[in-house]
Amino acid sequence: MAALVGVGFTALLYQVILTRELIVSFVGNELIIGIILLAWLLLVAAGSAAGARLPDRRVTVATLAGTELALAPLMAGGLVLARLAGEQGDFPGEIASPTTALVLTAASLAPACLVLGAQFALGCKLLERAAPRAAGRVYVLEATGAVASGVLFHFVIADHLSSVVAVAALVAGNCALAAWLSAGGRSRVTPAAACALGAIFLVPVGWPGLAHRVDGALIRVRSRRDVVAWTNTRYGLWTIGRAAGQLACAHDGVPLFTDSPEPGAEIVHIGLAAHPEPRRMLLIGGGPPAIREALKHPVERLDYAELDREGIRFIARHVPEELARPLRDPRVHLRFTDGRALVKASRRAWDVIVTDLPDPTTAVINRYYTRGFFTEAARALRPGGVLLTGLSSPRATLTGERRLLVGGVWRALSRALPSQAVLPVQESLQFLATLGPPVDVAGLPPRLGERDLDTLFVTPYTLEAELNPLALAIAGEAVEGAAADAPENTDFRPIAYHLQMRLWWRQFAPREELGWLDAVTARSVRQATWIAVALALIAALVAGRRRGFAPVATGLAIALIGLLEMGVQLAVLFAFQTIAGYLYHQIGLLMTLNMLGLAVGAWLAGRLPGRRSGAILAGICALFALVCAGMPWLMRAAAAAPPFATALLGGAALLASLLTGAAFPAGVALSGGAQSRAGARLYALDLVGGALGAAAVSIVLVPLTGLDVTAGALAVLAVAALALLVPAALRARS
Amino acid sequence: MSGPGDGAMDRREMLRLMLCSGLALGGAAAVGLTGCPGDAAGASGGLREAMYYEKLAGNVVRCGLCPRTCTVRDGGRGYCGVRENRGGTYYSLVHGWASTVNLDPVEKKPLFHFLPGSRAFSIGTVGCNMECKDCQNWEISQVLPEQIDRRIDLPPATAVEKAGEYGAEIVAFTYNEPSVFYEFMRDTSELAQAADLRAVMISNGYLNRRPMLDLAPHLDAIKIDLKGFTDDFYRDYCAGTIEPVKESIRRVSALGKWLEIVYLVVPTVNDGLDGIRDMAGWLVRAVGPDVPLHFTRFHPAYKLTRLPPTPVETLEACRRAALDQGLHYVYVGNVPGHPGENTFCAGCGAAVIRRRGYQILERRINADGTCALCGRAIPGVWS
Repeated sequence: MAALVGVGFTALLYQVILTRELIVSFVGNELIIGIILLAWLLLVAAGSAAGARLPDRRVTVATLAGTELALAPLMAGGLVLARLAGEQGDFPGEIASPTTALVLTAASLAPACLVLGAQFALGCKLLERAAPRAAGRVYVLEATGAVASGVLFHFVIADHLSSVVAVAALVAGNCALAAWLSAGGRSRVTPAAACALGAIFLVPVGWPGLAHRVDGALIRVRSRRDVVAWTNTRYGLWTIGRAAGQLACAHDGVPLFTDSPEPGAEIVHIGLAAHPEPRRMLLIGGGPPAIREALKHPVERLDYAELDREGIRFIARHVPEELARPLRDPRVHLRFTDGRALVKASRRAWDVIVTDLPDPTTAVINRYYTRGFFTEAARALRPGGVLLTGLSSPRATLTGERRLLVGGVWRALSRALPSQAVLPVQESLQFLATLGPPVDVAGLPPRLGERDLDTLFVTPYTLEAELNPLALAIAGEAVEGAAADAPENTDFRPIAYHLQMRLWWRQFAPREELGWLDAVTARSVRQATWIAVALALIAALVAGRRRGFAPVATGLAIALIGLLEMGVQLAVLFAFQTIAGYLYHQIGLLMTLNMLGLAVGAWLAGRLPGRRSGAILAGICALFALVCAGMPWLMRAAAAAPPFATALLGGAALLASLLTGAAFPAGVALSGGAQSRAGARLYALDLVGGALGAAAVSIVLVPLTGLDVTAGALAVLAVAALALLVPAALRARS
Repeated sequence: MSGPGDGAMDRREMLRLMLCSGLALGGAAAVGLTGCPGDAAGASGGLREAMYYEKLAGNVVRCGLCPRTCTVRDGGRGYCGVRENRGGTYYSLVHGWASTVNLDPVEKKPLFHFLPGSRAFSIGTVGCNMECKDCQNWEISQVLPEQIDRRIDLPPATAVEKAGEYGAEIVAFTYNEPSVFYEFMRDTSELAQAADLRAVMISNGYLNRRPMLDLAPHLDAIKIDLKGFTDDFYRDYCAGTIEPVKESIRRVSALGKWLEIVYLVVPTVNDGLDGIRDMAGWLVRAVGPDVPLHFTRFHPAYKLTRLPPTPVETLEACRRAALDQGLHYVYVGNVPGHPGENTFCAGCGAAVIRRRGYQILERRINADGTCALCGRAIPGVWS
């Protein structure tokens, strides 16, 4: 039993560590995150299915010990491969294509995931010999291990340990487990060998200097550059590289700024020049170079919002004095919080707000490009205040996804602030919105000239040249035209990050049309889900009385429940980040609650009589339908009462995971036959459902149709699962 | 092989017709340039029979415009994606419309020895005959015409008229590779010259001999990108080959057209000083020491978004290496305020044009193109 807790502990911890590594290795957009999750769940499912096929007589404690020991090199190798997976192109700095990312992700994850999946099946077989209803207990034990590792990661490892040390410690722990399992048995795996291997992996844990060197060597190999300093914080990997006298700072592999003059940092001048007296300013993103530039204006107070306190400390330690000084300037107030949350909580606080952020490649960044954010920013501005935001757009040529992306954001901005202007500057489109009358664009260069600033890229001359009447007319027409056709980017329908994902995909297939994805509409999704219900009803009516129907229906229902659970969890995460902000510990808490719910749900259901399993499973589906149908109401309630957002949304997440946990032992009982085989099969189906749910909800459904439609679709799918289960439930009762 | 004048209509007649229609259109849309939705059916709006192609058996054609010499079956398109075989006749799909236009300082092209301080009415369409990994404009260079949602209606005469209207002295063909919209460029540049405007091409130099020879009389300056200096690099980085580019550089110089070279220095990719020396030495031998060479600073773009911008020291080292090879006018680009942006007289060493970014701060060149201090001729087009 302890070994099975260890399996759950190892699986979750290793998943989180590898996901972080792979996000750094590839472009960390939502599609990459989806690919990683999909590969992980499918590989574990495959391992579980394969494990279920092992003949019972060959499954002993020694087999489990062997798999524990095998995990040691596999996990270490997976980490190394995940680190080396980045930049596999012909040239340094070249991003990986979606296909390459998928192949390398699968290669990094496969060895350990397959073994971890197989361990679940082995656990079912071993425990079945000792106790009835073993599969449910295995599920409980595994989920308990996951709860422990979730807590450990979010509250200890993420802040204090590098991936190298964490994986080394994990591997050493697995070796100890292998030694313990093999002790006293007739095993080829001797405890001594396991202990020896564990001791080797303990070396970097006990010798931080060595771990640091290994970490650095792997980071340098991945980036193919001269990285001189790095740190892992809970929000990612910060690196400082130095080449040919230039210092370059990167976060998760993406270059942020250098100590040379950079055009991007000077964008702030546009926002500040648009205000006659910019005394109070909020800057979100941009780093020290943007702060330095902003301080050239007569600003009395500059609030700089940054999530990552440790990241800023790291930067301040390693950048030259010219860039470190602005961070210490008495006018600068570093606000270590979520920028969106800060804006939301502020009223009439600033004359100018500038967001100097990457394009909305992820759902988290997208929160700064929605109508919700722009409305909050309008409330946070003082009378006559100015908001500057922007999207990259080489030329004002708006085509395909870029056109819809720009149009959707512009539309959101137009609905939040009374006047806006679009400025084509530096291969980007800057959106200048004000609470007062429209900004006099022609007046920007002279005002910048009056302030007599020492700038290089944004000067009165360059502004006059870039904001010529032709450029303004072309950009204005292009953006207005795009906005007329584009869906608005909102918090609960964040289409921009989906379009950004498609843009990334199209970089590798520029002539491929991805417009077919636009067929995913509220109407088509509703139709598809009701067709699923109809098919489920027909199947139940036609085949419900047949002997083999129950296991098939149960399997499908478990897969659907896995999908629903993942859908609800993602919806909760979306809503929470929008309402409360990207708050690390609260999000960690939500994820831990999820794991806890799975364990408790499985434990509770395991205590109920097996003959009620059909009714339990049907009831779970019915409750899921209610939870999903109630999600839109719940999200609005949480948005209306932010202090209760954690409780309301956490409650929904906990309920969904309780139901999912309870579904597993009920499903195993309803399937009949050997517990271990049914358990392994349903575990695999649960993961497959979860994988599909994660991909469908986060990559397609939420951004294209919105959270309301997605929640409705999930509720209807729960009804489909219920329809499938009714005959099986009735049969089990009789 | 079809050539100039082989089309269904005499070219002069066509130009006259275009001028008339363009003026009429200009009158109708006096305020600005008109956008129109893209033609998903196949871009028939910008259709014009292509130049430089050979008809083969079975309605197959062979394009002779660029070194790729694509053989295209009926209904197919060349590598560039903007030239299509329709029933054995090859058409350009990008004539008379633009994906983007703008008014840029000529220094932005960059052309430093060509009418400093003037404005270029800049036109881009769609398509390219290379695929560079750092292409800033990949969303127009790597797509098909029908993927452009809104086109800017721009017959050659309208382009010339608008250039004048916006006070431009130059019409520039740029943003995507202009040789893929050869016919549009050629028709427009002819009209531009007739209207006392200058025409310049901002190109990768991947153009065959005959088209280049025929086009050159209608152009006043050409900027050619050298992406690297080995064939392997061209193959891996741009899906091209270097020899045709070198040929184009020699050819443009021999034709007496004003030529400037740009070398985008991508850190750790093409910044080896041995290669820079080879390239600069070759330029001296092939076209002489007076050709301006710009080492421009890379910024992350397209598939190379995980590289930091080029260190300024690297650009300086490249500049020094090229000067050591005997080139007289070597610049550092995309680093405003750097001394390497200035033009120094090769005779007295004085800064005869001081720049800050695209802005001319000071000019000490006489109207006849000589140094105001020592009288040495500074090569270029100064008035």
